[in-house]
Amino acid sequence: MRGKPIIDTDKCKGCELCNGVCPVNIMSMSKTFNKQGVLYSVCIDEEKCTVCRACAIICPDMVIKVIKYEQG
Amino acid sequence: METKNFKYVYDKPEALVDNVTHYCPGCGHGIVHKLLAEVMDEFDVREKAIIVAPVGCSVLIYDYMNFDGCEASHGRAPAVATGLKRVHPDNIIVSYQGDGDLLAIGTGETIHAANRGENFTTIFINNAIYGMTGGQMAPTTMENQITATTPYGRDPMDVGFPIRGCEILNTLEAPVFIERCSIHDFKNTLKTKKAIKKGIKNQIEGRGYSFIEVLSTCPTNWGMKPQEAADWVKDTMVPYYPLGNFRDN
Repeated sequence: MRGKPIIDTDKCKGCELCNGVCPVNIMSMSKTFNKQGVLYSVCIDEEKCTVCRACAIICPDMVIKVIKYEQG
Repeated sequence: METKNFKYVYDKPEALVDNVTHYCPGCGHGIVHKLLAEVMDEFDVREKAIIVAPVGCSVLIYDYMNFDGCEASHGRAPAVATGLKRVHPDNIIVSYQGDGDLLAIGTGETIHAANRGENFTTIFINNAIYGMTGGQMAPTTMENQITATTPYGRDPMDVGFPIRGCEILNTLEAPVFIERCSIHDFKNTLKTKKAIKKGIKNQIEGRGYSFIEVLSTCPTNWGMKPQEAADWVKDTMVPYYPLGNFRDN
């Protein structure tokens, strides 16, 4: 597990752009609604995350931050 | 569960305020705001940056940027930016304009500010429609595109062809940097950031006018999902508005 996206679910507007850019297809939409009344973005398999930051860079609402675990 | 040390490889730029924007889901403005904020942080010029907001969806950009802002009348952002830059030559001035602002009511201001080679940076958001007022035809609306005022599609015989901003400014002598980029995918978003960075760098070095056109999306008024809108930019807009650098002196 190299790292993972940290998703601020209440800020998400549910545009689904992050789902389209993820190279390993681990971004998906939730089954429940957030405070804004939309289905928000979730990471369904953090183990596969490559820490490429594509989801965070394409997100128009600064919902996603990405962390990388340090070795050792 | 095992706890590990971690570091942020992507975090909110300091130049961006941490609040929810009023933009629709998937709107390109949010992406460009973020890129601009990142560039301001990278050059560490947040304290002396001033953004000139246009009239359009991005009229409230100063609420989202953690630096100074100034509002201009419709189309007059280059004139206000000229004044600010001449009075405060050490500040970093960015005019952020949409297609109605820059290529309809403000064409004159834009061309003359560029022709004088004023030392500021313009970011031009081209989303082929008037977003704020409810999706009317813009000068950059594509042929046969359906909008509120062209319900049967834009007919060039009636209202003319879409205007290419970069090509017009490329006929002038003074601008030092003209580039068209897009935010329809991850790779092009990174290229857009590079172009904005170059535009701000030119200004810091006092070289002159930089113009960055960004092909953006308006999913709500185009009547598409955000991903469909991004694909529409790639398939319809990019062939008519070719991406790339026009000038880099």
